[in-house]
Amino acid sequence: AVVGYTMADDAAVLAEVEARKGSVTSMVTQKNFVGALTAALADPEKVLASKSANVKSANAAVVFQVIEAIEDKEIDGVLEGLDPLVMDLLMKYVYKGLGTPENANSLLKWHAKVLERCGPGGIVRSMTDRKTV
Amino acid sequence: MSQAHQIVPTTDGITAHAWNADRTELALSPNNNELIIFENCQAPMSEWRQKFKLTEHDLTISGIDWHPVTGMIVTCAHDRNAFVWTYSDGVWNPSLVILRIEYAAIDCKWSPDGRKFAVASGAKCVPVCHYEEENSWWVSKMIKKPHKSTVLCVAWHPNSQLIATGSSDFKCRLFSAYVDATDDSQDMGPLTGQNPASFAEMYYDWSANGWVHCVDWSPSGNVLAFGAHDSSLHVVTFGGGEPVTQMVRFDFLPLCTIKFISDTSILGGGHDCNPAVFADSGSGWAFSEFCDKKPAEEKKAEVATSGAAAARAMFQNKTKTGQTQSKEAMNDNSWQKHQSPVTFMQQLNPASTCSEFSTTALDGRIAVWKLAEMDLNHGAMGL
Repeated sequence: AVVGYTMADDAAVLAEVEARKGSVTSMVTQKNFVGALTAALADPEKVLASKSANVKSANAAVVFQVIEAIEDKEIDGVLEGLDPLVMDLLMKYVYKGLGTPENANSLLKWHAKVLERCGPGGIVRSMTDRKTV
Repeated sequence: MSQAHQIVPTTDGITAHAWNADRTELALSPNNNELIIFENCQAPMSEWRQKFKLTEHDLTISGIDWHPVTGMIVTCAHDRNAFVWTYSDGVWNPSLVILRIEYAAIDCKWSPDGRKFAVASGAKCVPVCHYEEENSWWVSKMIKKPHKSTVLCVAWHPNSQLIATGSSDFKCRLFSAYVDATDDSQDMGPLTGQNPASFAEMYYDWSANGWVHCVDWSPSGNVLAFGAHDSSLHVVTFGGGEPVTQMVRFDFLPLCTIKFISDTSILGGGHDCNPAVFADSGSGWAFSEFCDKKPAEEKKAEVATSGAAAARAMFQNKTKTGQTQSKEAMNDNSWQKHQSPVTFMQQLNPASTCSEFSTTALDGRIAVWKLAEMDLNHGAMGL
């Protein structure tokens, strides 16, 4: 958990997100989807602590970039061995993505696959957590 | 055999229940202002008889506790009152306790020595009541700060001087409940070595990501567990130095009530309508298994291969086109003993290790579970 996060920290976090986007994009082009997803979901604390919609949507864009690049039949392979904490975070992003009309089809498939692994408990955690993505 | 009994209609539901010392009588409230006492509970469930229907409370009773030694029952209700009931000459006599709270009472528990009881209330405080001989009435002292919201549950440490509370401000807190008038000397329990605090002072607090619905102490008093609405169970072990916390995230819906079976296993009842066992394997706490297991599938009927029978089978199978086996299996919960969230759990056997427990739910059913006869991993549970 991040203590004492203020609006002044937002600029630094946006820079981090930009850097993350760079490394994630290169991994996606190399078809290293497991690496790309792990990198996109890494170090979420500052994004979670931020109150800026810009920071959150910038990070979400990086995550959705990876999700869109992964074909439906490869989802299982990518989710295999994903850390349970990262799985909970991914479920939060799935729900965030389902809030907009784009990619609903593939996000629903992602939802079903993540649900197999984290169960209704994961959904409960993504809904009760005050720190949003 | 573990079994369930529809003791009140499903439309009513049960808010709380408690057993007397020798388990021959059961007190419960069917989600209204009535306290109903059943007798003959040592007999099979269908032979339990309703003996008393007590209606002192004005609003829904939210908590019932029956002390095994003093034999007194304490009830609390949404009408901001608590009653202490004593049995004499074949009648239950209520004694009103002025709790001095402006909002509903949510739960009440006797201290293990039976001299005090605590009430969790919506007034963000916990009245701890003890009996004053001179005036012959129960007096309440408040534990208030720093609760920021409704206190949902309370649990007494076995030494009757420490109390843990769970609140809807997402925290579980540990307070001193040492009352000069009733307690002899201050016993610090698992906090031995620290400075004794006076009544209502907080020792520790722990955070969760959701309302803390339930809290319980282990039989030895060295482990405290609380369940929160983010589908997690937090276990705090006191070992001399700072307490060590472990958070167990599980895959199913949140817990509403928990009870320690032994120092290394916990039972949790919640929105999955099925008691769950959590065990400490030595390398940490984890979810072990559910108590209610689906009975084995019946053998499928022989497939007909000859003439008319085969033709009939073909047409019968066509009526099932489009239905998948797994969907039916997933939604069919009728084999479970409870059909609605388990909200209350009590230990039945008097020893410190639980071998039998009862659960009630808002489906109006009470289920009695005997751990030894159930298909569980008993070794992992420390039984």
